[in-house]
Amino acid sequence: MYDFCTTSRKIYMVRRSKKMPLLNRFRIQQAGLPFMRRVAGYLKPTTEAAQRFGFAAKKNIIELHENELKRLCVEGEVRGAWQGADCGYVFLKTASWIWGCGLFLDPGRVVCQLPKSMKRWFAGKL
Amino acid sequence: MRLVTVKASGRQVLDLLRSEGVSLESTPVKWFYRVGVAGAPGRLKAYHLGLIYPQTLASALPVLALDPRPGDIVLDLCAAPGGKTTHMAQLMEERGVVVANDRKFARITALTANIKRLGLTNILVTFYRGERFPLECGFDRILVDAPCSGEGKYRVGERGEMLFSRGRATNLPAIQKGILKRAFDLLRPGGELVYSTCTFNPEENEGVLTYLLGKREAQVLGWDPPLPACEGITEFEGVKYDPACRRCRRFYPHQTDTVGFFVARVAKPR
Ligand SMILES: C[S@@+](CC[C@H](N)C(=O)[O-])C[C@H]1O[C@@H](n2cnc3c(N)ncnc32)[C@H](O)[C@@H]1O
Repeated sequence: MYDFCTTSRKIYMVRRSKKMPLLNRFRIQQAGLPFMRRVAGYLKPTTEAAQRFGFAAKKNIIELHENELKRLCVEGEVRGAWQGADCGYVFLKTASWIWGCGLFLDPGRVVCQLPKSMKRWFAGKL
Repeated sequence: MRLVTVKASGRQVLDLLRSEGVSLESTPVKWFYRVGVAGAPGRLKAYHLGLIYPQTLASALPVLALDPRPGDIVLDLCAAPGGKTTHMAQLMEERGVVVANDRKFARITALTANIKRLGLTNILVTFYRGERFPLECGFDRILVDAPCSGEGKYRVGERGEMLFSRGRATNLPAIQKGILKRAFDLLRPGGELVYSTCTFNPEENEGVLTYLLGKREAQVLGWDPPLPACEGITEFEGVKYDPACRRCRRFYPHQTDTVGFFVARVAKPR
């Protein structure tokens, strides 16, 4: 069981604990895991939420080959004919691992939403 | 490195590491492996997927001594960059809460980045001076992984001698005493804390503990660690330390083939 905690821009996911109320008095910098961010009126899942909870998604997952993921990181977007995804944020998967999010736009475009550190590493390494 | 079994099982993480050409050697500590990797661990997929935490074997020792349990409310007073915080959350199976505190903002950034990378959900991050951490609630367990002169980081010198150097200009023992005393006051009755450093300097170890024993009704507890260890010392260069310091553990690089550490377990009577 989890609780959600919000600030004006972010929603955090916190593992539920009976003892959490004891900790209400502290000035907290980060509670649990950043889960969603508000971006221009939409909610975008964070990379860390995608990696941790993406396995539970039943749709809006886009499977890529490693070299497609690399191209996405280098070029910022890739095109393809993917089934089972609506327009909006999607999870990016290679083999059995979810790396983070992309933005799926009609018709068949995915825009990279991975963090800079990961993009740089993918571009250089794979 | 430590395998982080939050997003995947240990087996899945091991398979991924092997597929990336990492050679792994098991250790007496659960989830910890000695690794031969060419280059930094940051070049591995497992790193970017948050499935490993690069850290020395010795850094598991304070956490094992503290032995946090699922459901506990734990404070890590000097937590950044989070190696021990995240190890504790993993041992607790993310049940209960870990409050991870540090006084340096740049290091808090590294701490939150590591929590996010590993995907842990039961950690609260705070930014206080350890000596002034608010006395608002009693913790079950507290880790004081104190700032120290850190000569334990060096193994042996080029000619095989044990390196030993004094602390720097800052008065580290004074800071360490202040933090340890506050940590003791933050324990609930019956709670336990661990004081650890990566230095061999007795002034920063047994000296700090002796100070606490003089100020508070604290009990030093024994401990049977998974790596070879020596007892704490009770005298050094003419300075005497409390006889209970013998129950502390000193880990030397030449005995453990990892960095040096000092670990003391302390209980607050009920
Ligand atoms: C040995 S390091 C901690 C390593 C950490 N426990 C880990 O396993 O990754 C000591 C930490 O204490 C912090 N520190 C220094 N003075 C402090 C104080 N007065 N209160 C709280 N933290 C302090 C430093 O910023 C540093 O991050």
